[in-house]
Amino acid sequence: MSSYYAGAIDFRTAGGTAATSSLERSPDRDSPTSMWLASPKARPYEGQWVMLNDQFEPIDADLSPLALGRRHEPVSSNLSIVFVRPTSVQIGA
Amino acid sequence: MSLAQLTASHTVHFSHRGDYSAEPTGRPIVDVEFASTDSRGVLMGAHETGVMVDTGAEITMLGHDVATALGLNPKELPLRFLQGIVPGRRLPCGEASVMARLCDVWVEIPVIFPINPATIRHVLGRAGVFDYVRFGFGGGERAVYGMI
Repeated sequence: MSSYYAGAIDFRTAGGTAATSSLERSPDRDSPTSMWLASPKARPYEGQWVMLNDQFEPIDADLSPLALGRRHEPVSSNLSIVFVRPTSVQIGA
Repeated sequence: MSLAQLTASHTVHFSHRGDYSAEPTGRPIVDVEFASTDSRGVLMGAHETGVMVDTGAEITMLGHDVATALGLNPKELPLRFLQGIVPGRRLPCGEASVMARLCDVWVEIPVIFPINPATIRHVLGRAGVFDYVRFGFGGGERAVYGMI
């Protein structure tokens, strides 16, 4: 497990212009992406990264966004990758 | 604090194990995937790198190049000063909330990045991480155990 860098996929072309990410950011709950993430359609993908087309239809999903990007390299600009947050997280056994 | 003897033995069942016997530095370095999203929840960037599990570090620290790979600019992030790298000097850093894949679960943790490119050691610190993960160290076998 030596140190290495494996990230070589440019995701910045996917999903349009990205907003600033910081501790102070506030979720944009009115965006179509946020609305899809809050919908029942997203629930089967909890805890995973999902690739969506411009019609917000899931194309592929994986625990690893790097693996997802590699399978669809180069990531087209009409695709976006989102993380579906679990509605609950179990800590401990 | 002292390590006091337990009245009954305490058993922890770990779900993950990493072997760092091949690590030339002898440090417990594990590979962790990081990712960042924008305010809509869309992925901005992802990167996998080796980080030293460091119980003495208050917060996770990654290099300037990792920030770039995650689509972040440390200069645009809230400013923090890191002490302890060079005696008497403080390293200006930007702090962001970043997703980290720990024991195959994605959690959000605070991470600091040097504002200027500098050679730093990637460390997995306590903030956020130790709220989620229980770590165990098998010193002789050079293994890190983890469980969320």
